[in-house]
Amino acid sequence: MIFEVVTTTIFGGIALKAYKLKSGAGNDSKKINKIFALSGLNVKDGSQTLTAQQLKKKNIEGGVEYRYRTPLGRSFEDYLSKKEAIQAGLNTRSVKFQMKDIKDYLKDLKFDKNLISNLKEIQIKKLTNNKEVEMFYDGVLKIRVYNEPMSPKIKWEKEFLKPNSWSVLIGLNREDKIYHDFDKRKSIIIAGVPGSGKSVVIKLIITSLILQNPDHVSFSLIDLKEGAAFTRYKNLKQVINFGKNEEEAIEILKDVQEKMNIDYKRIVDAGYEDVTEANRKQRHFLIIDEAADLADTPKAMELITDIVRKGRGSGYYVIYSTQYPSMQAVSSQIKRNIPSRLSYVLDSSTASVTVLDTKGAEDLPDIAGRGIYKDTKTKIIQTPFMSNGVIEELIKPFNVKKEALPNETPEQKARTNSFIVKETRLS
Amino acid sequence: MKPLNKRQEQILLSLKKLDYLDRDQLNRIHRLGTIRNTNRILKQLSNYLSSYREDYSTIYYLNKEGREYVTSEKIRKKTNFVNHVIMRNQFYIYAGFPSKWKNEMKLSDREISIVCDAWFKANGKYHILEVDYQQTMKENRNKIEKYRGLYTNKSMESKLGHVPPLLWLTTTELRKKKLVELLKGLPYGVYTINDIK
Repeated sequence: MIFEVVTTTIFGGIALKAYKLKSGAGNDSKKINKIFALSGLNVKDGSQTLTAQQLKKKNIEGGVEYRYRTPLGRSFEDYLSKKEAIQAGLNTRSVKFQMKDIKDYLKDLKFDKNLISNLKEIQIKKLTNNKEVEMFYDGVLKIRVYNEPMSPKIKWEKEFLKPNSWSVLIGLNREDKIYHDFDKRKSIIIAGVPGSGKSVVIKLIITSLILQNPDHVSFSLIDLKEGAAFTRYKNLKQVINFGKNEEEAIEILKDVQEKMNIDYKRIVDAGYEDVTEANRKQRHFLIIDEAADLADTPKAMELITDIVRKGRGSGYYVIYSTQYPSMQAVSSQIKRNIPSRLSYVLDSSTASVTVLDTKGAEDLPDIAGRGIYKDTKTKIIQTPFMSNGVIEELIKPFNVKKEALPNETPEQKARTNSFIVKETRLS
Repeated sequence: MKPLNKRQEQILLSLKKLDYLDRDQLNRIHRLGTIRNTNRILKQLSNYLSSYREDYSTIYYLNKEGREYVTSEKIRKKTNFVNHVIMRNQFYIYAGFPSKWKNEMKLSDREISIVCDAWFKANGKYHILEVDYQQTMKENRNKIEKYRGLYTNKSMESKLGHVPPLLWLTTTELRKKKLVELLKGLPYGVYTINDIK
């Protein structure tokens, strides 16, 4: 009798397991294997089929990490290109109801008069999978499956600041906060289609730098969108130059170059290699928004290239932002001198290659502030949102009335009588 | 080498100013008398001059020695541009050697800028000279449109106090006719090379 019960239970269990496997409802690991096979990631070697071999499964915060040894003949890029397929596969459910769903159901269910609508709501919430996949490679292929998508909106908090340092929080990923250290990685290129979060991150960087080093930081702000984004910074004591069109931009670039050369000479003459070794505290940031508008001005590009090249050593860092990262807007000279990139969603993979040297930015979800940060390897981040109200509150103490100061670039006035006769080369 | 006399120096100086001159032009500018005399004087200057024969005349320009003598840094060579310059200099003679004569000047206001062939003052008025030596009519038309813009902007008028006439020097009667057609509405003058010889 006992024997019968035991065997029946065991066989019942096996049958259930077999059914679940067939429907693909087991854990994600089996499902991933199946997706690998179906999306052509396995390699045929004669009669043999080489598959990705699972090495480890590990629970991480908010999800599971699977590690695979990839078969010969497959690269990380092959797997990365199937990321969408894996994600979609993991979000498909053939079994409508699972035990853990019931558990969750009961946990969230309130037995009151709204029972029915409550039930419906939970059903929609719980039974649609919303898993998100991230992939990495460091010798083994790591696939992280998160149960919930990354938070689309993170609010900026004061705890993100690192006082007296030059590293600025530019975003968060699931595990930690991502800082860009301007003293280590120097200049940065920021790209993204309009409305993707470029201006937000630039404002975040400016505000953070001001709050972290109020006495040692200075800025030259060039915004070719007629100064719309940076107006609120115009009257800060840290802002030396402020320009909003091409002519002003060239004036500013010349001014920055001059100051940079003086500082550089001072550092070199004192026998130091760069600004950190010389222990100088002053840093200057040249921030150009919509830099593509300067691409047609060879003079400006020449100046920027020079500042990028020589500024690394002398503490003059460039933040170069553009919404259209063509070869022309981001010249190879500038690119090679600025290895750090931050890209928000872009419209094409070509644009992504131009900025990041790899595809990926075009596949980012359409969430403002979701971007890829590249220093040594690429990380997907979510830039925290800092509202304009918060910014104004934070920078208020540094506001000075600037009208009387002569530092601003002079306004160009149209002359009424401007006919000129000039000698030429051939005269 | 013998030191140069004043007349010889002046010949070198006018070549500095006008780049290339043929024998007849030098004869007229410096009043050298007969052709034989002109040839003789230019022969004396042969250390300072390069020359080559074209049509029935010889064209002279400063060589290295000559450039050093009058401290000119502009190197002159035999190019396609020479005939254009010779033609322009013909007008210089016709205009009576104006003292305020400048070649290849850039005229500009805020919108338009154009390089004219010569800019000179004669009879108390400034003049603009364009030389049409083997240019296409299309090119001429574009230039005239630019000048038209310059005139309508009035900046030139208000700066100088008068309207400088736009003079054209061309090669044939047919081209003269066409240019006159194009220049209508502007203060203009059109000459062929035969008119001013």
